[in-house]
Amino acid sequence: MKKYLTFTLKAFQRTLTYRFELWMELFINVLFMLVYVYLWKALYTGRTSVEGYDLNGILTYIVVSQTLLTFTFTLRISRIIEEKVRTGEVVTDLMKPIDFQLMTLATAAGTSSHTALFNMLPKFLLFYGAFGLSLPPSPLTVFLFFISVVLGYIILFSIEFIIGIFAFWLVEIRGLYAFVIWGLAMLFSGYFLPLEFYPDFLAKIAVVLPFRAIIYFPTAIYTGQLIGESLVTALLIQLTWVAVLVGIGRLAYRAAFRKLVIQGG
Amino acid sequence: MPIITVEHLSKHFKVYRRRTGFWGNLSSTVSRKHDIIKAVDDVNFSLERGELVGYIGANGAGKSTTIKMLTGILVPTSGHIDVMGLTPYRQRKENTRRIGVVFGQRTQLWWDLPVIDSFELLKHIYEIPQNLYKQNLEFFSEMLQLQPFLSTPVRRLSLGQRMRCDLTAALLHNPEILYLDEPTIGLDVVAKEQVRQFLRQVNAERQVTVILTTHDLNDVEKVCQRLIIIDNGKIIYDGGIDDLKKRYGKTRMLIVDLAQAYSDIQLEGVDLTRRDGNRIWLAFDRDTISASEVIAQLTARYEIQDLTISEPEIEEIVRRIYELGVH
Ligand SMILES: Nc1ncnc2c1ncn2[C@@H]1O[C@H](COP(=O)(O)OP(=O)(O)OP(=O)(O)O)[C@@H](O)[C@H]1O
Ligand SMILES: [Mg+2]
Repeated sequence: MKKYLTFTLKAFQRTLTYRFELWMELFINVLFMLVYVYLWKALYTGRTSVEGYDLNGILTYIVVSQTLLTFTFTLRISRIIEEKVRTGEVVTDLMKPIDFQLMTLATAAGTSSHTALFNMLPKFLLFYGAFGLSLPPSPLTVFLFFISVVLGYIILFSIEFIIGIFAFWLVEIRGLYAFVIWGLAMLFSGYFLPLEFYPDFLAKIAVVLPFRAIIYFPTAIYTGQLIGESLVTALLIQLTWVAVLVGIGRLAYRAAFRKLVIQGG
Repeated sequence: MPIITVEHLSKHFKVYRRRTGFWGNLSSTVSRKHDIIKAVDDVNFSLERGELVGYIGANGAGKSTTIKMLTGILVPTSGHIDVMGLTPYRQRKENTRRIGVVFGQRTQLWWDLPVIDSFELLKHIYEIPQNLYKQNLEFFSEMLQLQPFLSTPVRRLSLGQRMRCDLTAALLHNPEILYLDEPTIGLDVVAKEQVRQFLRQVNAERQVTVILTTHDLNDVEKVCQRLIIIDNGKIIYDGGIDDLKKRYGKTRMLIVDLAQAYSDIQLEGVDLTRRDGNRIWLAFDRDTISASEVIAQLTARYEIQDLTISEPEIEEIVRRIYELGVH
């Protein structure tokens, strides 16, 4: 286990060297979030509550979900795997006594911890202070919120991992990535709107897909929308998706390895 | 008990004619149109512990493909590989723990980390005990003079420095077998010599079994006791280097400086292998024609300024084997 933590640590350190990029990213994110927050403020003029969210509630939802969304567009795991397959660097990984999936997760966790600490946290605190957002209902919810964030992260990771594994078959996975991450995940993860706002048929689709477990569940736990039994159910659904998607990732990876044909050399 | 046994090993690549674009990719994956390349074709050999073997062959002969199967990253189409009792591609992780690999064209070090950080990472990955790690690191940095650039990021190393680091990286965990795919590629004469010296020493002092591929036959001549030649996926020679010279080294080379660059050179029983301005290289078999006969022919037809006769170099023997096959 310790060897995987080393990957996490090294990835974290490595990210420290790209400071300029990170500041630029943060700057752009904050601008987008500002626009988004003001849009919602405008939409709420003259209303007190929509689908159970008051203005403060919806702003909290937006800021938390937007903050969590940062994971989605900074993860880049499928791209990294594709690159490794294309350049043949995957060979060097396979030549070591390590589990490829765990190593990829450990590395991603390093990069993402950095993102969480130096991008997400300041961003969140800034908006929290500026707009007087609310905190989760209880310390226990804070704890469960973090659990849910981690589970959602592993789900996101697993989906990207599976997409990345397709690089062993397809020369190009950008189309697939765009479809799943920028299409399906954006639509059904709940970053755009709380899922309560969705028309019935979309909400029904969202229920059978794993994407709402990435952003909607943790955010709704934070805002107190999911409490008691529904909160427990949400966590159980997340756990199930973790098991299913990690499993599929492993199978896909096994199949990919069997058909592995390394270019060049 | 051999450390490596390879029996009837084959690797056939199906080469699909790919179409472009997302749907094109998908449809080429489904469609069955392909050519078959027999990269490795019914190969058999075995290695004893502590051997140092050169594995050579022309471009595309199947060397890298063999190495990839031995290391477990490529699944054979058919045949058996036994490495220390393991089947590499089935027991990949276990196998990798006990082998070291260097691909000359690719580094296993982390591109943007200092060299020493890569070594530290490897220590954790291979779970090398701290004292063994320290001992090995000292040993190798002494031997390969790594000290000056241990804290330099890998991307800033010269090819020769990087190769020395890669060799160290491959050996930190005391592997029993070391696979080297073109470890001297792109290195200057001094660096090559350093690598050769290092390999000899590692083999002798640490009893590491070494199998190396190369296009520089000096590597083989100076380092290996045994030579395996692969051609078009098939083994065409497997034996000692001295044997090779004895069997195929009946050829003599006559290097002649002519008075002028004759456009057409015709001689019987002699093979014109090279020419460079007025200088020509003539190979002949001393069993069928004597040197004096060749010289007589020459002086009868051309004006000669100078000539020397040389024993065949391994390079020349192998070149002829690649071109003409074994006979
Ligand atoms: N991934 C692949 N897909 C299809 N054909 C391949 C693949 N890898 C290798 N080949 C083919 O298999 C044959 C052997 O290749 P290999 O890389 O083993 O040669 P090599 O002896 O290492 O050559 P070199 O000295 O040029 O490195 C070549 O004809 C090559 O084109
Ligand atoms: Mg090769």
